[in-house]
Amino acid sequence: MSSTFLDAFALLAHLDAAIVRIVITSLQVSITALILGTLVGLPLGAWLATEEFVGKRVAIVILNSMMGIPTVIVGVLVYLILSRSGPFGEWGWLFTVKGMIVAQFFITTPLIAALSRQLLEDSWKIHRDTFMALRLPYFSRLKWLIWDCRFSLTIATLAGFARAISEVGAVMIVGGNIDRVTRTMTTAIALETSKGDLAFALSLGIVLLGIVILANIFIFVVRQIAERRYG
Amino acid sequence: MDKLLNLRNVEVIRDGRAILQSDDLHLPLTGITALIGPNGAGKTTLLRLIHGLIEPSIGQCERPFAPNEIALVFHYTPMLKATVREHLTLLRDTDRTIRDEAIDEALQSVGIAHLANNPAQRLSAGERQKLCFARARLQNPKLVLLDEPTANLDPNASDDVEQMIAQLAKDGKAVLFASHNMAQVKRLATHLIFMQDGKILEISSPGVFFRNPQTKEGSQFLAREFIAQ
Repeated sequence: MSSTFLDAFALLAHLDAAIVRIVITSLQVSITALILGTLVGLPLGAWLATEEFVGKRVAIVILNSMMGIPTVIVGVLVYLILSRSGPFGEWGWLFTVKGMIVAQFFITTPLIAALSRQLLEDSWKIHRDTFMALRLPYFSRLKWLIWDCRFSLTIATLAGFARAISEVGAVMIVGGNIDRVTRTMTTAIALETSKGDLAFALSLGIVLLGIVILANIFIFVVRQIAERRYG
Repeated sequence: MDKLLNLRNVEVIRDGRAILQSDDLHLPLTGITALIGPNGAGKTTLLRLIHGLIEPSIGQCERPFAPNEIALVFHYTPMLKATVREHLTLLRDTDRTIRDEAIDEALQSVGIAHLANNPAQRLSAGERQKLCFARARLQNPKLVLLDEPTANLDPNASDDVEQMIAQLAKDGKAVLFASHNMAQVKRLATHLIFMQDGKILEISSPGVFFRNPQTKEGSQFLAREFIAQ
C-alpha cells in the first residue's frame, strides 16, 4: 500500500501529462458549470426569497429536493435530451465537454438556488421594510440583498463547486469518459481503480482533495477579511 | 397653506383585526407634528400608511405629497454589510442625479462624515440614526416621517437627533414623529395627534393638549405618562 502512495506522489511530482490533462478538463467543466449555475441559481434564489406567489412553498420544496437529486439521474436526463433522437441531438454535444457542462449546470443550479434562497430570505426579512421605505426598484433591492449576503453566498457557490467537481455519475454518462476528450478526475479514478492502476487513481484523488481543500481555504480567508472589514 | 392628509373612512386590517380606523379626517402635515399614544395605538401603522408602505384595507388615503417626496425613518434600521457611504449611494438607484458632493454634504450635516468609509454595522445606535437622517436628507423629501427616532438612544444622542429634527423643520420640511417622550414632544412639536386603539382621538397643539385634553382617553393617557415619568 505504501508503494502505491509513493507511486502516486511520484506521478504528481513529475507532473504527469495525462494527469494534468484530466485535471484541466475537470476544472474547465466544473468551473464553467459553476459560473453558469451561479448566474442562474443566484437570481432564481433571490426571486424566490423576495416574491410572494401562489405555489411558492411547493416550488421551494421541489428546489430543495433537487439539491440532493442523484447525479446519475441528471446524467440520464441530459443524455436523453442530447442524444441523437433527443430534442437537442442536432447540436452534437453528447460525449463532449459542452455536454458535461450542461449536465453539471443542472446539478449546481438547484443547489446554489436553494442555498441562496434560504440565505437571502433571512436577509430580506431584516431589510425588507428599509428597502421598501427607500422605494428601491425591484432589481436594486435584489442587488443590495445579494451584496449584503455576498460573503455567505460564497458558501453556496463553494457547495456548488464541491458537488460539481466531485460528481461522477452525470459526467460519466454524458461525457462517456473518452481519453483526452472527456475524461475527468472522478471518471478517471473510477476507471483506473477498476483497471488496477491504483497509483494513478490515488494521484488524481490527492489532486481532487487538494482542490476542494484549497477552495475551502480561499473562501475562509475571504470571509475572515470581509468580516474584519464590514463587521 | 397647510398640507392636509385626507383619510376617508380608512381601515387597516391585519389578521382579521382593525389596527387603524378613522372616519373622514384631515390631518395637517406642516411644521413638526408629534404623534403620541400608548403602545398599540396605531402610530407606526399611521406612519406607514402616510408613507405608502401599506395601503388601507378599506377607504381612501389621499396624501398631499408625491411618493418620492416622503421619507420614513424607523426607530431601528438594520444596517447592510456595507460602508456608511454605500448606505447613501444606494439611493442612486432611485435618483441617478445624486452626486458625491451631495453625499458628503449629507454626512457632514449630521456629523458623521469622518465615518464615511467605516462599516455601518459597527456604528453605535446614535450614529446609525444619524446615518438614517443623512439618508432622509439626501432623498430631499417635503415630509419626513420618524418612528420613535430617539427610542433606545442615550441622552446625548437624543439631543443630537432632536437638533436634526429641528433643522429639518428649519429647512422647510414637514416632520411627523411618533414619540413616547412627552418632554421631547413639548420641546419640538408645533402640532400634536393623539391616538389610541387604532383611532385618532385628538388633533391639537401640544400647549392645548397638555393643558386641557379634549377626550377622556387623552386625560387618562397624560395621567399615566406623567406618573410614569
